[in-house]
Amino acid sequence: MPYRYENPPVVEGLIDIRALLPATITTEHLRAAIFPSIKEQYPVQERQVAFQTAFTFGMSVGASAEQKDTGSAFKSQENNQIFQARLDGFTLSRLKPYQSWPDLRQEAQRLWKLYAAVAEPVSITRVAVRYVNRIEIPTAEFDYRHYFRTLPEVSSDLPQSLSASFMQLQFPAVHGREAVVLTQATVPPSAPGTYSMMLDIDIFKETPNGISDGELWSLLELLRNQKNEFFEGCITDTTRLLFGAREEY
Amino acid sequence: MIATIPIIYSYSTAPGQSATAQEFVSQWLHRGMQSLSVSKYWNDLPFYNAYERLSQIEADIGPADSLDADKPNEIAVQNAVALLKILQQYRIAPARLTASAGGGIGIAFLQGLKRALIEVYNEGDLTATLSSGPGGPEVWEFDSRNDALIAAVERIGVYLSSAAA
Repeated sequence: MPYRYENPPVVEGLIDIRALLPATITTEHLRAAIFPSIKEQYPVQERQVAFQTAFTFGMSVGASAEQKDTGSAFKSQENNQIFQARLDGFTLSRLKPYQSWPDLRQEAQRLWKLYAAVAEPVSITRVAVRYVNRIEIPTAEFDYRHYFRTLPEVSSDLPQSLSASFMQLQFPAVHGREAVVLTQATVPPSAPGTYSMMLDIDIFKETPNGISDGELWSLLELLRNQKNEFFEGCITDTTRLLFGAREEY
Repeated sequence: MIATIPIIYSYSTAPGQSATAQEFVSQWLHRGMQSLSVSKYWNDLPFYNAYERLSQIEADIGPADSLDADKPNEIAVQNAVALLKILQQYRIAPARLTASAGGGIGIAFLQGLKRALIEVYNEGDLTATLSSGPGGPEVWEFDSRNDALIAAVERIGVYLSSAAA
């Protein structure tokens, strides 16, 4: 049952679209063609670099690393909305304060149109919706089960007190559901006497056959609905009260 | 299960190693998340933590570093901030920030068995050390000009991402 929250715990909501681009497309081309159209909303531009290890086999075996220009990140002045245009795809992230799914989707549609016109993707290989939530428990001593319904289970033969936890569950794409990586981890608390838990839901569809532009946005809607099911399935009514659950819709 | 105040974390990251939860998450973020969707929050989290630690060092609060050396001055802090900005752009997360034994700030990096350290001195100069090679550590000095900082970050990035020595 979906809920609407006064203070959603979202610290990042993102739409990620991976694509195969023609070999002729370069990061310089992406930067030069995209930035003039978005510099009003995203005035801060950063080059993105990745380090890659290259292995050589032959008369001798060796390994070396090199850096590679992978794309650009364009940031809003407030640094809370970031659009990444990379050689392997596109990501739009909304950080705190999170607004709404329709806002995120609408902006992603606008930017994807721009990116696709410049990058001319040959195919879309992966589509994802990811929500990173930071849940602030207002007490440092509590029973996990009061707040969470998906938990690490500790044998009754072991001490039941935990100072931190890290759990990652990978759900396969089966029975009409798409694949999900669910991560639940403690992070340093934001205030003394409290407890902070991250609840990160990354739901995606990956296909070598490609996803058509026509089905892209309906698929993202489906992923978002399934993300909500996972989120609600992980928390309790006590947790919902922390976010100001005010109505069901 | 009862959660308690998470003052001290102790995780095992690899045989013979241990790390705080923050370091563990930082390493996990940069090693195990390639298959996940690109998250700005997770990518930036180690840097938010680094800036917070830098503020603690500057204010002389937080975990004690047990050093008799001069505490970091304004020059060292400014250069450390400039360095962190470049590291963030290159997505090379520090594993730890401490007051440096040489008077200044130490920024340590860890990738598997590889370690790197940048010392940002109060006098304005910096040194970088790469360890784990069979020939012993590699050390070089550089200054705080932006291009020198970028060159050092790139060299450390290449070192940390290359196959184990």
